[in-house]
Amino acid sequence: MTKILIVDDDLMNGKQIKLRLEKRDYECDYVSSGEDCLETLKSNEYDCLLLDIMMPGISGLDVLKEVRKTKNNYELPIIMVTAKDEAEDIVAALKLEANDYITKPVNIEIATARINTQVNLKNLIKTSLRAKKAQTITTMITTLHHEINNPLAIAIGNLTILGAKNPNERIDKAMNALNRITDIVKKVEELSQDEGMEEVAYSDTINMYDIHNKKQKD
Amino acid sequence: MSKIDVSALKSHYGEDIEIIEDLIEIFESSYPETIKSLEEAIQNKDHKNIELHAHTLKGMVANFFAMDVKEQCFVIEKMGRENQEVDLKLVDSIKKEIPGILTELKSL
Repeated sequence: MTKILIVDDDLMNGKQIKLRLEKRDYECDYVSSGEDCLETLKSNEYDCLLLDIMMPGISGLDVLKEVRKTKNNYELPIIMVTAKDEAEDIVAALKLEANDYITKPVNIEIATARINTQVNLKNLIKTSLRAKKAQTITTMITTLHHEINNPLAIAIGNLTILGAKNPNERIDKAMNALNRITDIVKKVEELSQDEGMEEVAYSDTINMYDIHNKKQKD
Repeated sequence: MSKIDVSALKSHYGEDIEIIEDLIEIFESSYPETIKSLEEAIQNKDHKNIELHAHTLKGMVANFFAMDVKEQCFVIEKMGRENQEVDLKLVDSIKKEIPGILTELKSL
């Protein structure tokens, strides 16, 4: 369910938007000030913000500026809600990277159309970035595969010759270790070609991923 | 003469027309404070708050498509924005209109 945060000091306006969106299967929270909005965003995730421009205390534009310090316009789409006669504010908001605006009184069909456009765009960009990341990892693996294979082949080759002339346990151990590395490199390369791969972060603190075939895991 | 554009109101809310009842309740309980804040701002020649409270009142009545009163609020809002002196009689005029708006809304 698409989750929206509605920010408007006008209780009537905020409440009617909330009721009408909830009737259309959106999950909505409502706050009546910029301060409450920023506080709520610290511990809640939303798909989209509907943000009134003119509010006492922290204005909608100030909230927008603050939010954009940490979330760009596809991470958190923001649609400004404004009276028709506030053209300057609309321009200012768009320059501050608001995604769109709607005018009061809010036509709910227009509101839902614009919300859906922004949320769909957000999801599309997220998917595209994920695909790009996977492609980068694949390219990196392919490159490293070649980079590692050459010195590995040289090491194995020379140890084979040494071992043939002077068989000993240390050379055998070194060969085994290098053969294990060869197997791992081969496995990594195979994994990178497999389209059923998924990456699952298994550490919160550093970028470590368990890469496996999703079908096999399931 | 009607203080509300009824056809615009019904067209705007469409299938959600039942929420008007909730909005009437909120408006009835909250507009007196907004009017009071506006009057105080005018008395204190606090132009920023004249603009803000007139803007809020304008938004409230706009929800009911009470276009004349909305326009009157906008006049005050603009005067606040432009640091003009505002006559309290302008607010009196709005105060006189609101009970009529509420009566008309409740009769819908």
